[in-house]
Amino acid sequence: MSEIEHDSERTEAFLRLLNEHERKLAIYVTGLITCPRDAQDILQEGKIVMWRQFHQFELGTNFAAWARKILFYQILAYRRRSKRTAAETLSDRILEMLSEESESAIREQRWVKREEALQQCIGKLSDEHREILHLRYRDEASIERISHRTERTEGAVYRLLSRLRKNLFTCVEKELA
Amino acid sequence: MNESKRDELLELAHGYLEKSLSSEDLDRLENWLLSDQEARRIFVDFTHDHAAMHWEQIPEEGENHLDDLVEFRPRRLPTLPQALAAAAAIALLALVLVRPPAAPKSFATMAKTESARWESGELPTAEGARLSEGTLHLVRGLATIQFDSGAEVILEAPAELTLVDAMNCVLANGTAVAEVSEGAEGFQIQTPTANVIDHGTRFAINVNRATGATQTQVFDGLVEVELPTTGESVQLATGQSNFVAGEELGSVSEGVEEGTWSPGSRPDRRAEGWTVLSTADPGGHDAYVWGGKPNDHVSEELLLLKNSSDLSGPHRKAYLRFPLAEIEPGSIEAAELTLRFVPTGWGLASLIEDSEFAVYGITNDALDTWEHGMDWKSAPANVLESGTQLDPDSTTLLGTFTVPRGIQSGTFGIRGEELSTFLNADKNREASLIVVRLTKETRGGGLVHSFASARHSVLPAPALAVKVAR
Repeated sequence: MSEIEHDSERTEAFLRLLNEHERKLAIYVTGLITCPRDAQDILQEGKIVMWRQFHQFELGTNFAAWARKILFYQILAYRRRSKRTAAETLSDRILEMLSEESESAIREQRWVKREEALQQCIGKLSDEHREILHLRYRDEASIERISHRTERTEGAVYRLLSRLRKNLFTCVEKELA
Repeated sequence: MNESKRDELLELAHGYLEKSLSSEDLDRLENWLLSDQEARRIFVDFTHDHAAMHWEQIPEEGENHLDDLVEFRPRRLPTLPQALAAAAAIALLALVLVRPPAAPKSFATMAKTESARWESGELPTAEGARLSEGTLHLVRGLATIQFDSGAEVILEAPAELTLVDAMNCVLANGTAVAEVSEGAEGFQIQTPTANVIDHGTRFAINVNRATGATQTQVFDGLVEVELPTTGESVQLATGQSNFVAGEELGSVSEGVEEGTWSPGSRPDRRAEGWTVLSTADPGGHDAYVWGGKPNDHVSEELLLLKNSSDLSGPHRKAYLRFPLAEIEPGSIEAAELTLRFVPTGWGLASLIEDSEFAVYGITNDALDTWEHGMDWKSAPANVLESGTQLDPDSTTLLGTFTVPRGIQSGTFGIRGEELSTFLNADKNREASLIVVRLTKETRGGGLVHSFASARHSVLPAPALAVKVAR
């Protein structure tokens, strides 16, 4: 058991860095694992590991990149531990390739502009469609719940969500073009 | 990639997000991503948008309330405050860092054996042997297994224990006494019916060989017993015990203060004379109202509670109504209100102080007619300027309870004379209760408690158990 060193400066530095990068790290993990709840668990465990290994982190170097390495390892470990069958998810190998792709997106700062564009595109949606996204993302409502709420069939909600995601994607690409 | 190909990929990606792909489709996606770099770029950008929407508020009608942003962030993403004093930061870390990472291959030691006899198994059983993943069958005697994480498990024969890693083991049957030292909080023992998660303590588990029923007793500290099927859990403190059989999470027995009890320790509902009323019953009702600054954080399934540090809010108060028509006035000998708390995901649990809640009864029967969908202004007996206060002329305090710092889920509630007296005195046989949080958040932005409403798909609705004289 490594002793938690009672070094207030180090603790503060850690908290400050974590605070600064936490949301981007959350997006990285959620992008790869896709299920927000799993992502939250992974982040929680990842933060613990980060703190434990923080003495190895060299202040002034890239904290986010360092943290993503830890988180990626946590994602793999989490997938191994979780009882979910392999039939439901992509393989570790693909995940690794996707993580590399994410790394280059981050390196190129591609996602910074992308997020701004995404906000604008959401702004262009009709109130009704924005409400669907609200239900899905903010309230984490299931398709079943959304279908009750909006008086559509589940199939219709599924297709509508698909269309909304596609439209947003296309809109963002256009904004960035 | 042409447009129709891209649409096809996005359709697969959408199916992947919704976990609705057939195994053929999943294979197709896998192979596509494997062989096509552009497909990978599109896929990660697509899932990035998904993730970004999850972790960011979708602005409504172009409005962006600062308060929403402040509150939203911690809800989605526990954010650590920047300017924490060092001491507080370390205390916080101790709480945040509850689940150490997976350990290397061998992760435990057979520390001691006493008159032990083993059935052939896959692990070494000699004292001092290093242990990795595998199962131990103890036929006679005692064996002490020291996990590298700092947890120690004493196995009492006959027992079967599978070691998973330094923080996890599975007790298929028999008795284990665990002592978990500092640093190994989060150590977990699974049984066929329950997950027992330790929060720094000494406790014993007994698993029935035939049924898998699990009894947990806490000698010292805090333990969480969770039903793996539903995620439902109870917390056990020093001197408390719990019994899980089948898919039934039993109550917590004894060791609680009068009037305040947490969590569980509900009466045996099947016992004679007890009737359980729920806000989900016909005539029952529940709702919460919010006041203060505009805020669009709503929940259908949960009743939210908040007492904002900011005078202008947002605040939230919860209203419950139980139909008493079946209960003879004056016949109630004892009563207990139980609320099933669940995490909202707002803020780190460790930033939350012990939170005190108060339950009031509405004494003015004319005010019992409130409906779901009422607002802050129309809510009965509400004092608009406050996150806690109610009109003293039409309400009476029935009791308070405390949700300890760091705990977000479990069953809490009140019982006692005040509650029974109030219910007995109710003339129109409809009892309206109001729950408020007395404790203010320690800092602005977030920290919302919640408990399951009558509309929750899984968790029990607010319940009022009453013991009626026969």
